[in-house]
Amino acid sequence: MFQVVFVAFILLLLSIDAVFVTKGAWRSQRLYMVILLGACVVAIAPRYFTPVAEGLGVGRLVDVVLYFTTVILVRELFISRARYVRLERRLTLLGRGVALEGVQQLARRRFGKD
Amino acid sequence: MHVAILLPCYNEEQRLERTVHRLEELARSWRSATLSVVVVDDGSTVPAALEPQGGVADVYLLRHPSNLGQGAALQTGVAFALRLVPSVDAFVTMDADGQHDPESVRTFCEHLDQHAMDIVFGNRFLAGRSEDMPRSRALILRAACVFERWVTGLKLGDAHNGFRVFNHSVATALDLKQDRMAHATEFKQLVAKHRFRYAELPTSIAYNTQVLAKGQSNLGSFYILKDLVKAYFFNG
Repeated sequence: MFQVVFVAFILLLLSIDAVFVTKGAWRSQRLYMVILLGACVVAIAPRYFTPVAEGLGVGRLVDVVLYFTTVILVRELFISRARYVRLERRLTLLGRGVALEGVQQLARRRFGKD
Repeated sequence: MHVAILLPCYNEEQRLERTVHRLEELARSWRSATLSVVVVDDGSTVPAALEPQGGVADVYLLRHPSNLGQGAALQTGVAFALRLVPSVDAFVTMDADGQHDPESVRTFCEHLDQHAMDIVFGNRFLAGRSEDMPRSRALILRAACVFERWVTGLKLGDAHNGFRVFNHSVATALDLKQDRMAHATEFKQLVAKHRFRYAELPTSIAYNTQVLAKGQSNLGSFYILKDLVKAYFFNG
């Protein structure tokens, strides 16, 4: 039952992406599709992949996938955060430059004051 | 003495104009000082419009193209003031919503000058606890104060008080990277790092309904903490 739901979910995702996700970056899209279809195959017939996992010294192939996925996601999170902080800094400097260029003098002090 | 007053503002509307007029009144009565008011509109949805009375102070308006945060606005103001008159003696930061008393500018500047200080911080608790200050706000500020003492080692009795006066050395060394409200802690870190001479003086804060409605919520303290942690790991 789980396999059916899982495969249906992945196919739904692929269909939505095929219709709505903007075109371009074909290589990354193809890689993404291959990964999801691979997940479908592993979900449908896990027993064919168990020897591979055992060869790697892990009980189930899903554990191998989980280990790598976790490490990759954490790495991506940190890299994205650092990139975001740098981008935010550049945006601030850009905004400051615009403000300094467009300064207006609204009132001018008279000598000696009244 | 040439004093540059930096007013970061975001959607302050009439409150900003009232604050600028009060500063102009101060300029009129304080004849030995030259005042420049630098308003930094931090991307207000309705751009700040001002009609200064004119004749007593120079008033400048700078606009950020989008909302970058109060820390970013202050740094913009300092950068402009340093370019404007290299001989500015005192830089004042205060809120544009009228919660700070413009008369304190004079007291603080005189203290800075006469006691050869680098920076003078405002302390709302030295003036006696305001009856209008919500109890929860007082509690959070006390906790923030303990945290800042631990982080910076400075013995100061208030946290995140936007009223401060500093000299040219501090302004030159200032390079705020905290764009939002955590800049107040960064200020103190700078003072500790450069071993600037500091003092604190009582300052009153008007906690009227407008200030409480528009100002920071108590939840803001968690965002400040989050920004500080983020900066510790990613800005280094």
